[in-house]
Amino acid sequence: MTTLSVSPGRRIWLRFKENRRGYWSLILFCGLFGLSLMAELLSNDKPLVARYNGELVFPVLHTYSEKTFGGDFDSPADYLDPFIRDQFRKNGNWAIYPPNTYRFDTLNYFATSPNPAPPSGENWLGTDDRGRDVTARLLYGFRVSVLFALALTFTGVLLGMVTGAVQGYFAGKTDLLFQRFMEIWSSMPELYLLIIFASIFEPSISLLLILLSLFGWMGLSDYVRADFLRNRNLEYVQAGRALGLSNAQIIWRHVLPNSLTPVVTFLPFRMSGAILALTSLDFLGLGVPPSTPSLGELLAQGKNNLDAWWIALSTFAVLTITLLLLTNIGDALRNALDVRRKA
Amino acid sequence: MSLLEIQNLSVAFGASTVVDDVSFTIAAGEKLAIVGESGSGKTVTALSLLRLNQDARYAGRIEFEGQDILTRSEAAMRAVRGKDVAMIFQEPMTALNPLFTIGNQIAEVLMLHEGIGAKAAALRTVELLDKTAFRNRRAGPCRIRINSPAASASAR
Repeated sequence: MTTLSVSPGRRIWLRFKENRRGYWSLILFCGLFGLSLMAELLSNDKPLVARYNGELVFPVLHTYSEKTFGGDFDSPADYLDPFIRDQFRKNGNWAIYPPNTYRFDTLNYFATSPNPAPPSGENWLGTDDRGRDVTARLLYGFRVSVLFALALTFTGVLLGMVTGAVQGYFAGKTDLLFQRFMEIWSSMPELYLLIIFASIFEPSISLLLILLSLFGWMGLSDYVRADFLRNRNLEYVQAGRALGLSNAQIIWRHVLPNSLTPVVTFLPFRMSGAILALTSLDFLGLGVPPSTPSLGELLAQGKNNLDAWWIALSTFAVLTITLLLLTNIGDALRNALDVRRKA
Repeated sequence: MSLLEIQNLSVAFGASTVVDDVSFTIAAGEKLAIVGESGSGKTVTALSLLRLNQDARYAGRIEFEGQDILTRSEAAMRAVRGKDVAMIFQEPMTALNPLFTIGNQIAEVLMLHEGIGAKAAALRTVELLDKTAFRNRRAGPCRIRINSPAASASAR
């Protein structure tokens, strides 16, 4: 009898879990994303915690001047400096460095090999042409990509759902007018607008997010609209009206939850699409500002330094794995939400 | 004094008049069955009582408890629907939202019309379901009986 009382949401989750590939992809993706959120603790040029002359210091949180640790200048301490490193080894002092001792923008002034340097014990995946650690840039770049994709997916889904719901539920003239508006809006040349805006404004992630959101909602809006057009005529909508529910209540409680299949199914694919969009824009130099770590910028570096195979290869691997994981998740989600498969 | 009074009701969609000059009255405690061929306008007549027909033009009068239904505002209509006048749909499988439990949907009406919280509504729902001797919550053939407590949950 217990199987009878499984709620619809839980049933979908159980069906999702049945697909091992999708389930493990989700876990792996969340794990990787979680790690990248802690990037400052995993890959940083400052020790996490150190003890100097009997005092505990937290270089990750505070900026200490070089003088604090017996240096000559009143400038922020460079913890990769062999002199500072030595200071932490003296009489009872110690320092715990993160596993990878580079931030995405750390320049190692004490490196022994010319840049770009091949993978070594110092730089696990080598350095790029400016001497920055590729591992660190990949880690931070992955985080930027995923966060950007999450934000873009969120705004796109929200806009798409609202516009689709309004068109589909009210139908008639509202629908007709909005469809014509969308036809005009979708015929605007997105890429050229991006290029134009990139030269007018200072490039920034938020500007990119706004521009891509302005056009990204239309695909989803069509699906939500179609589902709403179908569901608005079902009897439980009429029943809801007969029970005295308002339009907003009917949309929110009854039609929207029944029209979520395209929204949820497309989530992972929209995310991988967003990651790809950001990467290609960065590759072309139209994306994030130059100082930001990004996968696209790394790919461009790989293209410009073909002899430094470690840059292109590792970036390509990270991109492929990310997109593959997202595709697997999307595939499993689609199967889990497919009602026709139930029988 | 009759509870419901319908005088010369006509309902038209576009150019076609679907209900033409219908009059009847129902007193409190009285039952009335409307019988007819399919397409003869039974459903449209019934839906008119709650003004649920979309894009329809009404003529005539519908008076419920002495108040005109046809001239009421949409918000005032919502207060009548499901509270004073309830409706049981003929196809129970589609009249319930497939994503929510039956209890959820009965409680929703209670919360809406009686202004009680989610907890009180849940208790009252169980009470109502017990009254209709309904225990197994996913049995298909009995769904129509679920529609009745949903409809009568708040109706007096």
